[in-house]
Amino acid sequence: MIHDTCNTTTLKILLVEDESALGESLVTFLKKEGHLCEWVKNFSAGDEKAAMYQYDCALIDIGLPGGSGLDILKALKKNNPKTGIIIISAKNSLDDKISGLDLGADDYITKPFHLAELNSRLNSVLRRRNFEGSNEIVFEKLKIVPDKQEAWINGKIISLTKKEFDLLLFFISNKNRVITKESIAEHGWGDGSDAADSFDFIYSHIKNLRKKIMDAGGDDYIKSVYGMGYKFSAL
Amino acid sequence: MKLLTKTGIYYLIITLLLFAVGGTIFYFSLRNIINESITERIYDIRSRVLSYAEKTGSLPPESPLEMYKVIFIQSPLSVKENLQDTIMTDEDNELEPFRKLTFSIQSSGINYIAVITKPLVESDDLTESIAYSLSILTGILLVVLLLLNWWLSKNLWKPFYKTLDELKRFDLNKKEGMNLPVVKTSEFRILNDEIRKMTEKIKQDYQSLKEFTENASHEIQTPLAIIRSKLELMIQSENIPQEQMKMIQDIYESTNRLSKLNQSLLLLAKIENRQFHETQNVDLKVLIKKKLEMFEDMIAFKSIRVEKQLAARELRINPQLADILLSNIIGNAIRHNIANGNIKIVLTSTDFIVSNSGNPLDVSPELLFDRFRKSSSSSESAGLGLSIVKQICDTYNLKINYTHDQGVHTILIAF
Repeated sequence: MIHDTCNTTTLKILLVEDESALGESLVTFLKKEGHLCEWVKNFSAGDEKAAMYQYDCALIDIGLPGGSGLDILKALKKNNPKTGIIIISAKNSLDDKISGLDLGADDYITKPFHLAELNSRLNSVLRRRNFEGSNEIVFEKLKIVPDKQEAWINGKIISLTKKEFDLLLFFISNKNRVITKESIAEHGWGDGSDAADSFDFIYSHIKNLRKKIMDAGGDDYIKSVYGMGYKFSAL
Repeated sequence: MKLLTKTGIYYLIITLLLFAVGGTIFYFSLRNIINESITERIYDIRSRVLSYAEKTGSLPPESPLEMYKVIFIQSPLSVKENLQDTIMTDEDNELEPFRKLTFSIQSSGINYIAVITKPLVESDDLTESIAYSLSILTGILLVVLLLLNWWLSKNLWKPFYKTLDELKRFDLNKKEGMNLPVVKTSEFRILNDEIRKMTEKIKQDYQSLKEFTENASHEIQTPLAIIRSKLELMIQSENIPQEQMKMIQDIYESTNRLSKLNQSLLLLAKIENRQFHETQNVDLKVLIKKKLEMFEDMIAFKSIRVEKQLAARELRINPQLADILLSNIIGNAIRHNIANGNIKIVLTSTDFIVSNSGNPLDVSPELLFDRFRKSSSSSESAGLGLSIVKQICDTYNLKINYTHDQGVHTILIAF
């Protein structure tokens, strides 16, 4: 069985998304992660839930029938300031982003996004919200302290570059799942990955990370999958 | 030249022409009137001389010093009465035109020839005085015209100039409409009404175009998000055969390409629609260094050697666009580079030059900035990167130029 201090508790998540097919994907995904997910499809239902119930986290689409997701954000903040909020938007609009973050959103993600990316941001929001900076993630022999950017194996610190540490955190957030090369590239390098004509450059970084973990006495947690990408799991 | 100055000049030219024609007519008719009155006067003197002679039987005294000079010459012959213009010497011994009437008269049985002469007005004098008075008139007219123009432009044309100012200030990207004055002059009122209608229409069209762009992106991004999320859930299944997994992988990769393409098209449309209108001074040197950091892993992966000569240079530009501009140019130089190749980045106060080693181009250089133009060697890119670069350069009137020489590709942007 996998130990993880972060995900052992079931979280209550509000999802406000008017697109049925996308909403279904997100609900399926979040349930697999072991979260309790409430999904509403329009503004009034979202606004009502936001005012009445308490959530650990909310994923809100800005463009909704009947109103703006930003108003739901306000209602949530008023009801429970500790709710972590991630805005989902189809518009890559700087104005939306700024006003969303100004209103107290923790993060902003643009459609189409990778589920792994959403999950990684969700975890990071929840970590910041719930532990206020003093949390650790334990996976098998690995212990990670995100705020100090430290990774330990068997009580020994592993020296990782910033990029390697980011990758490791991304993998752990999405453990036991196939993570595509595309989502890794976008998470780690953003627009910078556009300069590469293939995803081969990712390979060398992952090879180094793998080697450092194994040299420190860890197992080979990172496995490559079909040419699709990688999977981070216990043996 | 101002409209009023122009009409003023036309007025002046026409006035001068009219004055010239009028002056000539005036000159001739005036001369006629004067001549006629002289003739009348001469005949009047003649009848007085004759009646004097008849009544008194003697000749009236000669009056050689008056304007109308009357002299009598004894002559055995009688002459026919004759009025003629002739040239004679006057008292100052100058030749002058005279009108002369000669007729026979008898006194105490002696025949005399009476001669009445009158110097005619010199035509030079007449022309001079007419021209003199006309030029004074022209002078007065000019002053009046200037004053009138000044007054007209200050009062009558004021609303028109206000409208011009408003038009100059008009900015499609600003929310507020035009603040056109309410005027009584019907032409200006119609002008203002039409401008108001037209700008409203333009604003509306522009707005709907912007909304169309946004909506189109929204409509495309959402299905893409759905496809991507479904595929990402699908690949988690343990029991998909390898063969089908390969198909899923292809669909997934195509979806990602489609997504990037859509984002690029959206960006192009946004730049074209001037939606990035806020500008600030961007330190290009700092930004280039930032971009090189962003790309350092790709540079290291291809073992590319980067040489840079960066001078301090600020550019007034939208920061997002500056970011995209440099990302695309430097990213391009890395993507189309060869293993162990090199990149040279030069920033001076006048130019930004990026040259890189690479395979020869298989499209002609002038088509390089066209949309969807790409070299076959990297089919992953949609060929929009340089179009975006070109569009940004056009927006800020920057000159961009591409040259290729012996395996070295160079892009030069002149500020």
